[in-house]
Amino acid sequence: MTNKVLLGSGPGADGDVRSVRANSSQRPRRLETDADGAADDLVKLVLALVETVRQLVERQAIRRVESGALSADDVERLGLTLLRLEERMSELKAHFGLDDGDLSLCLGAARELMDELTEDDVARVGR
Amino acid sequence: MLYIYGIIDGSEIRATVPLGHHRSCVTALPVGGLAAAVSDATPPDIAASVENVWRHDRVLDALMARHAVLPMRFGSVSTRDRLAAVLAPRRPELRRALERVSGKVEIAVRVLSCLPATSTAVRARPGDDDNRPPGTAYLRSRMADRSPIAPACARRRAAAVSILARLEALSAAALWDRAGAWTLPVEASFLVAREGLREFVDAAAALASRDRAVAVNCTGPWAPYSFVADIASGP
Repeated sequence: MTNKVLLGSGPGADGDVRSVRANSSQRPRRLETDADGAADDLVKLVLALVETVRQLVERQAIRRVESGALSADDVERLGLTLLRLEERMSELKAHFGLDDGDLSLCLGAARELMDELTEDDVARVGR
Repeated sequence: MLYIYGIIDGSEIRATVPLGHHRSCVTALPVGGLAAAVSDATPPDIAASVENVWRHDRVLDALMARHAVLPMRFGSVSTRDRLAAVLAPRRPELRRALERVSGKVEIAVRVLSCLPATSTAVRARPGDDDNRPPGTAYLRSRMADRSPIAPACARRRAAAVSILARLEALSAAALWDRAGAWTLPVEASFLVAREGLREFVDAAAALASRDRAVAVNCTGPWAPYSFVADIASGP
């Protein structure tokens, strides 16, 4: 297979040929780990993954609310759960000195899928 | 039957081209100063597998190293006579198209949103949002946050349009739906001079790094599929 990814991430990324740049923000795509920073990097990675899953859960919850299939009690219970999750994430970010950008994974096609599952669908509802 | 990879300038192949489908040699079928780059397609059914699609692309890549190329869609087959009969009367049109893409490659660009990990917009707390209970208020605020008319969405769209417009200035031609760029991801195709490829990608990287709300993916160089659509009706 051939790699034709010039910038960012995308399909066919397992090849060898023409990778001019690895990442749109020009940051390395691998953890820059040394003995001192290994623990911090691991925390960042784990929190980024947790945050991504949290966002997916939240988006799904929003879609369910928009569908009108949930009762007011269900919406409140779901919202409270998500609110607590976000508060907990905010505490963890503050504790480890991380900001939103640190936890934003460059997911390539998966990110696109997340976007398409949200903005497009919201736009469609809003038309 | 012949499998057709593309139309090239010149009546013979000057490039070193890898084997085509069925491990057949890629040869030129000359038609009045132009040629179709073809290989034997017996049997004519070429499976639309990942491997075969990349094989088609590798042949085009090799041809583009020495030729202007009008790529044919994957899976294009025809007989020798039929192909020659279709190409011959269209030579002037094909020549113009070849001149247009000569020395250029297609770069596909996709601008997608990088939603912040958590919203910096209004946070719902008990007592906010018309005295809704806190969970409901939170969800409603998140829904508003993601609305296409929300400021964050508008800013991402504006960033995408700005990036694509700047890249367009570095290209010989561009195809993207400016009016439709109100929702991400936005996809665009650029025809870029081969010698300007690095400058183009560097510019895309620099533009993307200015705004963390969006990410930019570039792939290529591809044969200029998007820029031969006006002559796309094949044999």
